[in-house]
Amino acid sequence: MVSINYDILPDLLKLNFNSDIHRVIIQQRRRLVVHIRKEALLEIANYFLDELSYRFIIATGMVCDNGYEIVYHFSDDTNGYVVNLMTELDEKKPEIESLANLINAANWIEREIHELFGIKFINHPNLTKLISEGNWKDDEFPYARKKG
Amino acid sequence: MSTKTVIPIGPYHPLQEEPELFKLYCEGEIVQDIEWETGYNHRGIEKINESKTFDQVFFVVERVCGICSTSHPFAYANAMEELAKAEVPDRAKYIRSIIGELERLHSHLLWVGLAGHFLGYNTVFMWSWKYREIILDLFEKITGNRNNYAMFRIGGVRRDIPNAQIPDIKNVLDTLKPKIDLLTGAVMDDPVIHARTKKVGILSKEDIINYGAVGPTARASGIAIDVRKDDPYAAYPLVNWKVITSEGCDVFAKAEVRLLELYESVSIIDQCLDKMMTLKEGDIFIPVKNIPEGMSFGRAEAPRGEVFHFIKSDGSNSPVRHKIRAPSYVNIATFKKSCVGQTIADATIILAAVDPCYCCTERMAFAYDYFTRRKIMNGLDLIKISHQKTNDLKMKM
Repeated sequence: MVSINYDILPDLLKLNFNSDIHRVIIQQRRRLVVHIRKEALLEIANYFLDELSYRFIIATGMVCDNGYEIVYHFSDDTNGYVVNLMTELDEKKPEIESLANLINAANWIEREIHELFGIKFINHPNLTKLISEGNWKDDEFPYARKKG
Repeated sequence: MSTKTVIPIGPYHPLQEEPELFKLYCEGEIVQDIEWETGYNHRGIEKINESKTFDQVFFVVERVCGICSTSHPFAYANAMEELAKAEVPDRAKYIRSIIGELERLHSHLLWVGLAGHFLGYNTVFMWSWKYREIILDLFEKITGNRNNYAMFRIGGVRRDIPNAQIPDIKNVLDTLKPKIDLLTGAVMDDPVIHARTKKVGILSKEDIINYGAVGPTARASGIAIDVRKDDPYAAYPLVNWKVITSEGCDVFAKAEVRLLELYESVSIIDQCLDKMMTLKEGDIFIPVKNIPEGMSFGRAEAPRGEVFHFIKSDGSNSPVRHKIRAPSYVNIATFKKSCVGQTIADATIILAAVDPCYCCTERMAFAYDYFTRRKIMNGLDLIKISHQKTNDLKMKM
């Protein structure tokens, strides 16, 4: 486990990923939100998991003004920090690279977000329904953004 | 020609937070692969909460799981208080930790009983469920309810534990300690239990990290993660206790961790009660008027592991988005690793080892031939072959 100084994490991320990081917000005590470019997700997630030994907690899909947002929650178990990678997806083509090949813990939640919001996870090993089999048609997504 | 058999376990477990159907693909009696379907009891709680006020959400999240019905309100309260920047009074912190630890006691005792039952030790089952009653009676005394205690609110707790009641509670805990000794001795010293659970259902450190497993499942593989220590909340930083780990990685290690955690829980409750005696009665919450706009992330250590709640608020009186991650969501996925290559007789105890609230499974589990779809085994048969294996071992020893 690598213990890092959280005062320098925003600078560290800027240094490593430059324009892929839009902004870093210290939300509360031990809680950070990092807004990232969606194309850089895999690289940044890999940095947190591999180099900083973070644990993947879960991801949250949300509807926002311009489409969808996904928040990936990571935990630093050495000091209780929760770092959240937040990325925006376009309403017309909501898709993002899957983390399931990087970390198994992302497998189920990506399937869940897919079936609820209709967000496509590229290269997911098995993007089938997890929780709503038989409840909605394959192209109907219950939590998806209302059209119009 | 070898016959491939599919053994479905599930799907309906109304008492579990996440009912699921496990399909064990077996060749002979060895499990070759496993698939699952989940969501049979998906109640859309996250969506329901978007139409509830922040105060009402407590009663909904309390019903996510029947066994850890305080862990979800705990994590939710932690998230809301971070968002509202509310500092909970010390007395409320102690009461919260007492309720949380009593819950861990009754949940672990329930697990020990079920694990004993699956192995064919029905005496252990009877004992531990009998002693669990003591905890449930204590809950009734403190909160008025044996389950779903409705103790939490934003800014504190709803009911005080009067100082006059504290000696009685301590007496009850004192009577519980020898019972835990008895149970621990019965499990730790029995050669047959050793033979049935050691080197069974192995989960390496790498597996735990890869699947993101939490709680006793992770701690039994030598990974010392515990939200109570890592991200301290409530009264946990104010009392002395230690995180229990084991390097065994198998089912026995999971039992060991849970049994030793019983002692830690009793000690935490004891210390909290002592400290409450020095505090003013009635000082159990601070009023929180407004929830500001923003995001918040709350965690709590449930008996099965970390509970995670994410709240997004727009400044109104209900959440815009509320994400809940129960520990079983990540722990159950480890079954793919721990069960493959093991025998069907061990499958029940391996699944039970991650504590996915297993009591209803035996009514629903059945096996059928992969090709003819003819039922060949039901849940009781599965338990029976587990019992048979224990009996065979007893005969040999």
